[in-house]
Amino acid sequence: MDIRTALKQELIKELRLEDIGPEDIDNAAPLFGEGLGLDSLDAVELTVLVQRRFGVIIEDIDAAREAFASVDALAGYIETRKGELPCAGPGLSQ
Amino acid sequence: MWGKNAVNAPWSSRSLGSRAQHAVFYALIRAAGTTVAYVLLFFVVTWYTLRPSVRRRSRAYLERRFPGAGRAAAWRHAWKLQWSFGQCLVDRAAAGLRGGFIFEEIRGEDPRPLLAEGNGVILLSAHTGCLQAATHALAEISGLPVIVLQHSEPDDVDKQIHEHTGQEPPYRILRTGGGPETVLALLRHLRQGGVLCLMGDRVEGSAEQAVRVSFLGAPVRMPCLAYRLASASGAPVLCVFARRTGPLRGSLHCAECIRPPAGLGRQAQAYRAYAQRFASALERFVLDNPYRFFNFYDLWES
Repeated sequence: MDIRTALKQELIKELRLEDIGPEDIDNAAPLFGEGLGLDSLDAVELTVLVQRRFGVIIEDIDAAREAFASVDALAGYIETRKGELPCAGPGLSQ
Repeated sequence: MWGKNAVNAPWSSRSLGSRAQHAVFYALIRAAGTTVAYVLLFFVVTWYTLRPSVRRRSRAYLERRFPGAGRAAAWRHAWKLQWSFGQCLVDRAAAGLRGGFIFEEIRGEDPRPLLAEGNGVILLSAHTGCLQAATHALAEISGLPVIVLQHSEPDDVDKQIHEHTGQEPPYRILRTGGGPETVLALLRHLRQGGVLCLMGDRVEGSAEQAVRVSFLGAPVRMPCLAYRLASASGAPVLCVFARRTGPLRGSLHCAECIRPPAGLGRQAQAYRAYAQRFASALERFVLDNPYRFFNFYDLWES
């Protein structure tokens, strides 16, 4: 499965976004504020989700600022970091 | 008899006094010491308490803490609350300008075993005074990196302790309202075993970030950031209330340890029970220390 689709499915499921499907989420739209409408505290669950589901730890604040910009940006961050890690945690097939 | 005509203004961290008035106190503390500053404070507090607009600021709290108080009693309670608050501000300035603040003791649950667990600790406090001095002491006691999440406004004129000393504080200050990057920085800090100090009695940001709990007999909204961070990081939440015990002296009351389980998610209601435990702990503190809860706006949505 495409990482963007998997990421959107996880966002909907884990963040309990109601009345919305993966196709409704614009890959280029901001995750926070306008766009998907997450608020700043949702960064907590988003960080946990990315770590648990994709095995990628978001710790660097500057990188996080870019990664949280959109689904595209977050997917790109995950792909890059998964490639860097010897053991990247659960795969997309799970 | 509290008066029923005016509505309290929303909460603000801005001081009643001007920058120049603060400067007078700072100069007095430098030149003559805290005792003389307390004498001036007596007249300043009396002047402010005579003003209905100032008494209204604490009305919502004092009405609930002292229900049925008559006119004279209401005035006395308002004066004592302002006096107690003013003493804390004088002590804070004196601690920065002259030093010598003595942190006497930690009461209640000992925070040191929690600090030694290595999962980080969230110190959840309220506006009860001398928290900065307590944080200085805790930072030194713990030996761990400490972040203080602090609200500030552009017009704030009263200085922090470290702004008087000109030295870096023994903790890092992050401002509230910093966006997802700030939240992530807090989570990372806890995962690295650090200590996070923040306030549990003031809501900032969107209504979705708070839950309704009972406090002094009526519903209030309290923030759930601390419990969300705890659920995500595994850090315990220790409810702590600093208290001024005398001139340039304070103590810290560690009331209760709260451990939200992992995986509670983003729905604020999932954290309501934990926010209620904090509210109940604060209520017990306020019942014992009625003039140590510096609430100058209508917390009760009345």
